[in-house]
Amino acid sequence: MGFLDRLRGSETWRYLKKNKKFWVSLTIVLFVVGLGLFGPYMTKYTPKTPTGAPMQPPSPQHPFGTDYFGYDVFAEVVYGIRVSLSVGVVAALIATFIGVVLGMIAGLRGGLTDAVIDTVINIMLSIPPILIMILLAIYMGRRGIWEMGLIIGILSWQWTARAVRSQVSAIRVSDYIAASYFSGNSFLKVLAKDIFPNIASYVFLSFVIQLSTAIMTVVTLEFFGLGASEWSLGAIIQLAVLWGGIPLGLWWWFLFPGIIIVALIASLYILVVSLEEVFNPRLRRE
Amino acid sequence: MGLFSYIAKRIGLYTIVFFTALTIAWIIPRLLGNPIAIIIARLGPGQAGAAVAASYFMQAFGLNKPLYEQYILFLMGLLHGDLGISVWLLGRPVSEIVFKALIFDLILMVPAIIVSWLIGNTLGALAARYRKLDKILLPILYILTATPYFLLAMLLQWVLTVQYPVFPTVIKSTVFEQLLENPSLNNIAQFLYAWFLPFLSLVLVSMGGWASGMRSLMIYELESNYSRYLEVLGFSERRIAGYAFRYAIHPQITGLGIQLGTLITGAIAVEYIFNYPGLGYFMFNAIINNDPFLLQGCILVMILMVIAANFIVDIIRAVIDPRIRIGVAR
Repeated sequence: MGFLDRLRGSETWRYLKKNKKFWVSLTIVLFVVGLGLFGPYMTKYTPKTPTGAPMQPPSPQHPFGTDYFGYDVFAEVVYGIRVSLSVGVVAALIATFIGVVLGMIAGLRGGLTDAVIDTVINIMLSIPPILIMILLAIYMGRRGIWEMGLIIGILSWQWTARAVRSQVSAIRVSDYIAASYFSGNSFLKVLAKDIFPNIASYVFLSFVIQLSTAIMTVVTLEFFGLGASEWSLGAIIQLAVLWGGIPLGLWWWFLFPGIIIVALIASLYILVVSLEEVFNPRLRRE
Repeated sequence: MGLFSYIAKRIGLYTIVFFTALTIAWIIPRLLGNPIAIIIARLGPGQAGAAVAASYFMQAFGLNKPLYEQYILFLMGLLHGDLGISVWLLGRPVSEIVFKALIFDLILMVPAIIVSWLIGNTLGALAARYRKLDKILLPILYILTATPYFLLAMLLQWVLTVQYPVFPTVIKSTVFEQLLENPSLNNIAQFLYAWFLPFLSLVLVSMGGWASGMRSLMIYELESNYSRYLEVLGFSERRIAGYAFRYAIHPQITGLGIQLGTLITGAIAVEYIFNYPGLGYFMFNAIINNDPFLLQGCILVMILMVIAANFIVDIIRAVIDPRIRIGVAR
């Protein structure tokens, strides 16, 4: 019996099927991702082809209008989604990976290893990570998708590590872990075979959480002018502020990229909440 | 004596945190880049002039000395309140800029964090109790939390100064100078007029976070065994919610210190958009104008603010929760 068949027969699936929050938020996330993937093929403009008429409100020709310089905002947005989303995914993957690995090691080992990792987590929780990210981003020679993803990822794993650590240290005292050690399994084998399956659903969840916070961080850094590319969701909005888009009343310049950002992050939040309800029956209401 | 040894331990941790942050903020520019090159590029002298200016700045800032000596000089300078000079503001000492900005930041942040915490937690607790309210409130809260601070600030500015000009579009910087020089009623009123929109932006976004956090904490407590037991015993829903609230509020108090960290970074954009001369305003300008010393000064003071806030929160927690003093809970 394959994984999908097992899933379809389970009680979790029956609950998931009628969870409206899950399907609505998943649709919005996929819509934004699709816009990033296929959007560039839907427009004849690129962010760098001047269209001639600056400051045009939305029209059939320019669905999101044109900016102060006469560039097509729709083109800027769809290319921007690609950049912002890619950085977010890279950052979330790195943060989840570091957080899960360090959290598992700290939780299962205990003792000095745990104390050291815990202190590092505490230090990282007391310094706003975005300040260090700003410094790194400014002084890095190159700011590409990988570099920005790395900067954000290595400074965002603390929450995941802390949550995984507390879950694993609760599992550590179970008899079956002791039994696994006694039957000759090494530390790494226990980690991979006995601990990881227990927290696998949480790992997936924390990736989605990391993705939503990473995208928030990415667009914020882009707004400060520290983006991975000239065109990104945050960078468009920064330009709108710097060139007086608000007093000039060019609302389409910042409202469309803004709506995309909010829709994406809010749907990821709601996705997390609905998945939490699916994985944890205690949170289900009704 | 529990309280004192607890406080001593916390001071120890925060000293480590502070020096770690200080060292990181100091070393990143020196390992990855060259602040002098940035200054020279800004001044833009000719080829020959650039070399002379570079060697002058190297000596003036002590960058020709070995790294450990530079670090000691940097720490000594900090002790004397010397943070270097701002390039963007044409040589004004960073410490002077940052000190004034700190005052304006405290006037903005402290009320924002208290008001958003109170309203957010109340809304969250109510949403957990009343299903009908929950249905309306929850989507709004998620959207607010998902809104970057800069975007909400821009929307407020667009709606309230351009579409419906309730507030002035341009705020004169004299409003802020006058408040410090002569805090008369008229000047305070003028200041509050300029202060309100940045304040509102910060409150709205962080309120969403508090409320949705409180909502799930309350639901967790209300569905727990002790709540069920109280229900069976015939306690009124109101009293059960009262007990649940006392449990649920703890993580929210702990979160206060961390929330200040996100609020400070949110304020960077908000203050720039509204021209409010706090640390964030100078930090944003330091970033877009390549001003290494001003940037470093702003970051150091922000880190100090967050650490101080975390410390105050730790003391509050220890006073209201005996488990923390004794060391049973964390």
